[in-house]
Amino acid sequence: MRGYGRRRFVEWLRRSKSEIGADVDSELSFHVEMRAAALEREGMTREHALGRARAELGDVTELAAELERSDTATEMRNAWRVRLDELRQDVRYALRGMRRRRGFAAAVVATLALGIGAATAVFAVIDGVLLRPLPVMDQERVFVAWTSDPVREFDHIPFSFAAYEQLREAVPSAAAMAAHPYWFASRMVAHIGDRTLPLQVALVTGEVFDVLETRPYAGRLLEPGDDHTGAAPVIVLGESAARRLFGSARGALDRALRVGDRTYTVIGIAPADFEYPRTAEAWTPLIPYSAEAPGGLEALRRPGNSAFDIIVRVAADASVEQARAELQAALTDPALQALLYEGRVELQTPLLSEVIVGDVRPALMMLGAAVLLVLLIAGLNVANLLLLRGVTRQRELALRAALGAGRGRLMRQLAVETLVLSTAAAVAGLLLAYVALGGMLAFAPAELPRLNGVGLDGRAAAFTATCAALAALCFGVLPALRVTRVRHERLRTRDDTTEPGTHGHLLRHALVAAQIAVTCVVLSTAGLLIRSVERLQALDLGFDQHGIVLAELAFPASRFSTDTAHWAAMATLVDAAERIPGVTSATSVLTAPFAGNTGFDIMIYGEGMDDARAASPPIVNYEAVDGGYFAALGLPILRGRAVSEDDRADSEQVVVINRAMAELYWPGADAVGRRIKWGDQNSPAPWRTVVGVSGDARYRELADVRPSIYVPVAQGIPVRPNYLMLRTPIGAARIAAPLRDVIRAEEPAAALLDITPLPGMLREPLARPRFQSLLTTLFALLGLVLSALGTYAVLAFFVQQRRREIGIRMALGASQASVRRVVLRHALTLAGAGIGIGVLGSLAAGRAVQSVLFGTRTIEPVVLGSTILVLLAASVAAALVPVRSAIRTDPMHVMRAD
Amino acid sequence: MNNLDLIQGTLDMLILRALGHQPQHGYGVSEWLRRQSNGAFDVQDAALYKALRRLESRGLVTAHWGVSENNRRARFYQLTRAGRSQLRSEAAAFEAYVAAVFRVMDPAAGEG
Repeated sequence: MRGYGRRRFVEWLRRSKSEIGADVDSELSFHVEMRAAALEREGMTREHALGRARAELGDVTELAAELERSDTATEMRNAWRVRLDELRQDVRYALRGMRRRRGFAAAVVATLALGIGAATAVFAVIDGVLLRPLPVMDQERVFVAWTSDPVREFDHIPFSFAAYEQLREAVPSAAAMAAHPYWFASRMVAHIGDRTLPLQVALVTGEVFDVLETRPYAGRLLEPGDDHTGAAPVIVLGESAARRLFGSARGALDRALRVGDRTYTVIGIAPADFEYPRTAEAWTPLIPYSAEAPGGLEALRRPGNSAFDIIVRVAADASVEQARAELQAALTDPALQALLYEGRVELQTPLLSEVIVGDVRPALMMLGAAVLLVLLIAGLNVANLLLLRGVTRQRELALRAALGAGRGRLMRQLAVETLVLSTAAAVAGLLLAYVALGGMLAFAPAELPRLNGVGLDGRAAAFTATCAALAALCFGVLPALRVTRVRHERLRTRDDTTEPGTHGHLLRHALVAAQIAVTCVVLSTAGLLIRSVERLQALDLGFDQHGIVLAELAFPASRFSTDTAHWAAMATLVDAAERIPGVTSATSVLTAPFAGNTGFDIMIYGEGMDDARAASPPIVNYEAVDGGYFAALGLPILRGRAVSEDDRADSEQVVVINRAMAELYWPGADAVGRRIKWGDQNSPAPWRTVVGVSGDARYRELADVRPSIYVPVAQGIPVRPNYLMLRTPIGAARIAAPLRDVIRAEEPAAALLDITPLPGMLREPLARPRFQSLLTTLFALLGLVLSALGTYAVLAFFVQQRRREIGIRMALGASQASVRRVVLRHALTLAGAGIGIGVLGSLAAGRAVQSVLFGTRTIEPVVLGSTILVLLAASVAAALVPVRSAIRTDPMHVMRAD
Repeated sequence: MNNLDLIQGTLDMLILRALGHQPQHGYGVSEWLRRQSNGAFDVQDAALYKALRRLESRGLVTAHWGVSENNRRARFYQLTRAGRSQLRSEAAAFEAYVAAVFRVMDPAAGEG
């Protein structure tokens, strides 16, 4: 062979040059042998015959060389075809093998499909929520800014609008800046014909779409020119909102839409997965809206009105770091500091992507880890199954090896088999993923961002294919390597079920122990999550939950020119609601339960609080309440009195605080009689007297109790409560109609947006923990079943291998019980090893998931204990059939077969 | 005539014929040829093997390794479908050729 390239190619061929040479030699020497034998039969001596036979071939060296040349040329020509043929052969062989061993093939495919399907479903969610790029151009150049107060542990303190207007000039690296209220979107009422529908409207400054560069689905997006007093009211609708209101997305364009008491023109439709600020379905300019709202632009620009997050797009020739630094520097300007919330503030500037999906990342990552563990368990199972099958195929493989299949060929054959199995598993897995994903999306908490973009797409399919290929590689190659090592020895022994050596034994048992260990980790994590949910559900809310129903009202902005008028109307509605048959009590409330970050907070200075605290007074939860609040809620008054109807604007300024706040401000002392004021020590606000201490209510959040102050609505900061809270044993559904009638009678301008019972409101804070614990438990159960199957397979094989020994033992008088003990001991040793390692892993995992847990300690003995028990029980259950099989061993049968 | 020198093409055809019934190894083919021709064809084994390679490269014959009748590893050859149809057509052509030659050479053929 001349030429380096050709030589390399020849080497790469199915048969190396030396193999071709060996084959030719083999063929020719066969011929010589046969001819010599024939000549011997005719009477020649062996030597003579051999000599004659060789001579008949002529110049053997030359012949061999020529045959080799010819063969090599053929090889090169046919290399591809041969490879393809071999592949086809291998596939056909694999399929035949699968058909013959249907049970085994089904077990492998089912196991892998379960693992791959679950993993693909979770991947689709993670991809759709976390990995998919936002519909925003160059999303790494956009960040959101707010401040935080590390001393008071307030993570999110928005800017005031006045501060925003000043900061706009202070960041030269910014290509565009915009602001929006930190509470994402305002709940407004849209009027279509005679229907009233809730609509989440984001009030944004005109530059917002310059920052969030996105392409409209139709029409145009808001511009700075839309955002000034006197501009025509315009609104941009999200695609699904447009469809909901007008029937079709495009049909909404240029239509008139009445929201609240303004009529807007729909100038554009935002793309489907555009969801910033969170929950926003529509966008309208802030300034024209505020100009017409009560208080006008002065209220908007009031320095104390810290309600705005700022979003920044960094210019192409600058870096995010630069912009951040410029913002930071601007904060040192005293003129700006006067416009900020007081206190030591730090600047927070997370990237937009972080804000949109950041807080669900840990939970989703945890789910991803759990499902990968399950996939690992499935793979270990498959490896074990393949190993077991490999052992019983020794004879077949040895024969093929003797017939000339090189180790490479055998390995390729086994690899093809594994690939065929894993392809089938991939297809089945994809179908399973489709079903699983449907289920997951149905139960997913609504607050999970970007869910509407989650589905099985090309990337999910690619993930499935990758999983299947990796599984084939890892879990098929290992058994193949092991199996093809024994080639010729096996042919000699008749009995092909002997133990091939301790290596195989150990590996298989190690695999099962590993499975059990991994299952232990997933199971214990699921247990921790379940515990967490249980604890959350069992929390005493601090007030009487039974029969509580919340009704959300909306008034047009122009309806009440003064706050007093609003309060009077609410009081009328409360009275009218209490007169409804079936309503025990009613009250107006400012904040819906479990509103979390949306709510009201206020800094309060307490007279006589210790100096350290006094320097930066805490910020507490603010509730505006009317006379019936505490009674209606069932919130107990521990000392002093509740707020009553006599606490009016002109009477003594009083407040009620909860126990947490009392402990915070005057630990150990009686809070009744103390005085407080808004703001800090030097605030000019008037003093107010604490007249009562209430119990702690888990109202604003489920997981935490916030120090809270309850202020008579007429005495506090000007707010307009829009919720009616009723206590009614007859349920939300039956009270809706009478309530609507009452509202229509007393306040026809009001719209009843929503009526929800308290358990319904609890669904919200519990949604995510429940979802997580449900999924993880499902994964854990899946892993448990797979591990049990793996244990069963290994034990069954163990019994089969040891059958002779068992038979002999029984013949020598061993009881069934002792045989049972042997098998069970084997099973429990396996389980013990797995659990031993698994417990360590579980402890580590428990620490890793602390952030998504509620109220769990680092070591939860109940969870760990039940996990161990479940695993032991599963191992024993898996051992049942092999035990029975061992007991049934007939000693005579075994001995005779020897 | 003891050693008829076989023309290359004829050898190929005879090998195809030899493999017509069942796959054979190289030695088997040479034995078959010897037997069938009652010893008249003493095929040069070297030529035989080269011819087999030729037939392989033409796609008329394929080879695989198998176990011989006395449990030895041997290279077996068998006809492909193309080989079979080639055998049929070549046999027909040869018969026609032989018939024509026979007619020409026939002493009973008319003089003149």
